[in-house]
Amino acid sequence: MIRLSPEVRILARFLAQTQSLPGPAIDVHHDEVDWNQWMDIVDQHRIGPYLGSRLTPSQLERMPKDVVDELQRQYAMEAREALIRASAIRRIIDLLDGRVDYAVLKGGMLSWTLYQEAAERPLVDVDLLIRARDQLDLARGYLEEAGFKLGQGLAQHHHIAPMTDSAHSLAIELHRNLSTPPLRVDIIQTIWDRRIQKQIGGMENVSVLDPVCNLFHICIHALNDPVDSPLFRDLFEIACLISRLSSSEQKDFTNLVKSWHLVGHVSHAVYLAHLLFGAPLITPAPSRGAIDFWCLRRLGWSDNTRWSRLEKHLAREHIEKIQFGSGNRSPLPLLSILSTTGWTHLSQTPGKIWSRLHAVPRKADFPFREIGDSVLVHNTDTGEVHLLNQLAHQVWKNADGHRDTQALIDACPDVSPQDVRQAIQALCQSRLITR
Amino acid sequence: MAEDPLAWQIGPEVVVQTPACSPVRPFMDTVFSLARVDLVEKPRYSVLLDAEELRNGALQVLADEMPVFRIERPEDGPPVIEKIFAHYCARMCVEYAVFHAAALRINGKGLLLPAERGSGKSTLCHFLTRRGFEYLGDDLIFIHLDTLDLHAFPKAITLKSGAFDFVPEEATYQDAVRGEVRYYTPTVGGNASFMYKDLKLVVLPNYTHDGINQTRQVLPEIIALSMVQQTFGGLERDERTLDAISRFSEKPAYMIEYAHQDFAETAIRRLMGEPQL
Repeated sequence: MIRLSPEVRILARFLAQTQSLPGPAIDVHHDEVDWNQWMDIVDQHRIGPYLGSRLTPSQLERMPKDVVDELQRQYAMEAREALIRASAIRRIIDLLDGRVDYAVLKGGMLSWTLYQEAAERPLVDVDLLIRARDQLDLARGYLEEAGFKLGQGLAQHHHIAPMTDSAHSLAIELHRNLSTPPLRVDIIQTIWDRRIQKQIGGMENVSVLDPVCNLFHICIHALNDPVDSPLFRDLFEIACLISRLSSSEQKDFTNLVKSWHLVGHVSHAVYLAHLLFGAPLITPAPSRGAIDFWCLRRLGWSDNTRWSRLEKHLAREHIEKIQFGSGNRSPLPLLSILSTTGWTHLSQTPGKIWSRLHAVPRKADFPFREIGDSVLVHNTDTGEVHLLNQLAHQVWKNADGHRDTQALIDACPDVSPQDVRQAIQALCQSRLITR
Repeated sequence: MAEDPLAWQIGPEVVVQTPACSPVRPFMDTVFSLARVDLVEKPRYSVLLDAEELRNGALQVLADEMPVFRIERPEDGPPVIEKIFAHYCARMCVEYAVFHAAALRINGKGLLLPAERGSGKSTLCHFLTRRGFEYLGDDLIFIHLDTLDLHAFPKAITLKSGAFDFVPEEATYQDAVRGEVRYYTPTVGGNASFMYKDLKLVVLPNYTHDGINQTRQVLPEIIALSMVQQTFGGLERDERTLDAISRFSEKPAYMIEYAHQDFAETAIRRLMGEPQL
């Protein structure tokens, strides 16, 4: 018996109703819902703008007013980003069209096919599949010419590092495969050969994956990284995509994943979409194991507690081990992760305490400008800007990593040692000084 | 034959175009009539804005023909358009630091009013534009990171319901966050800019309800902090934003607390070396 929290169930039901899906089998009463926790789940899975756009008056009137206001605010805020994204996508497609063979993947396609408009689906990047190496280099060249720059590299990943323009309007990821570890060459070639031309937004004849392969891709993507990706939304999209397939396309999907021996890779996602939203179960129900366990945990997680951070870490490590060959139902990988994590933490703790006690203050390397006797420091890690008074400025300037606390006190002879200590403490708290 | 699209230059490098008969055109006219231009060269960023009417009467707004968001009722239109394009300009104008501030000019001399929401900045701006000041903007200003030239976000002055008693009757619109708003387009001013050297005065306005009228000089670090607080974009993307803040904090700066706009105007004229009316 699978237990879903009232918050998860009512969210699944709301989402299902927006697309006329059956929804979860077990219903829930509104009084059982902790709306703060519900909103937390909505935020983590980036569903707020969609709900703000699509919930009907009868659904909204059963929710607290502050929750309704927040959903509508999220939709309005997303509309601002959506305009920037829409222009950027148009620019990218216009740039590559007719010059490079590509297919638009995931959100870049779904925003205008599954959703009505860009503001309903937050999007952080546009993913493009490009099969040939020379075509990928060509695309990268055109994007660089247009002002996009390559970010930090991802070794042995299925796409090159994201490329962004100076306005950070949108990141572009150029893929040569659809997953890490990569899909077999014959599979990716079949997916590539089945591409279709489709209207996306106002753009005619944009190359995208066909509905069957698109569903396959979203399924493997959803469970490739269920911990850090918006799993709830991904499963909702899977449910919608399945329900839009014709019966022959559903059979095609089932046969294709069987022939690729990848039923196990997609059946968990299909099953979870069925469980939450009542989508047709088009692959055999998987034997339940660690993947399903972590996914169901993930749906109701709150990011704010130390326990949830530990749980996330365990889930991430465990899933990675399963993806690279460990058994989905064996507890041994989890035990090994627990012991490794515990040992790493314990072995580092004394060293950290020792170094904190004995380390000398060192000013962090942040941009600053002197203004009168004060200094303006921009902590680029936190985004905060601090205005340091004369004393804080002097302490900060002298904290070169060589002078200890006493030396910093000695360097300010006109100020009491207590004031200097307080300044050091305040600078440490603002992370302008590190130890 | 279709008419040429209309164009509005809403930021230093940003132009919005709409078909002449587009349903969003009235919204653009309400908010950005100061920014209408005849387009002679292609700007760096250009958005073709249009809309389609949906079955429920809402407008589906299209940017470059792509559905982006909806406007449910006509009275929501201008505030939505205003906020969407303020955000767009702040993000796309990467060679500029963007601040929440009003800017005016008189006899070639620039006046900058960085201020928090609710400080009475827009109401004061409206008053001053009726008293001979040339309007640049009441919400965002763009400072070029190399030249420090100051450019306006040339929208109409937006007044919230608290200011309605001070101004003539106008059409009222609904904003999801700000409540009722009205738009006032000054007759003098528009898509303008001035150079750093022409900025003569920075004023932190503060409308008070308790009858206080006073002017006091403000230290450069306070102006710097105020500009940091009013930054809309730039600190994260370009270190030169700190330079701009540092340079603008060198300008003469005053806090003007006022219960009557006449007092604020008199103080500003005096501080700018302008004759009193």
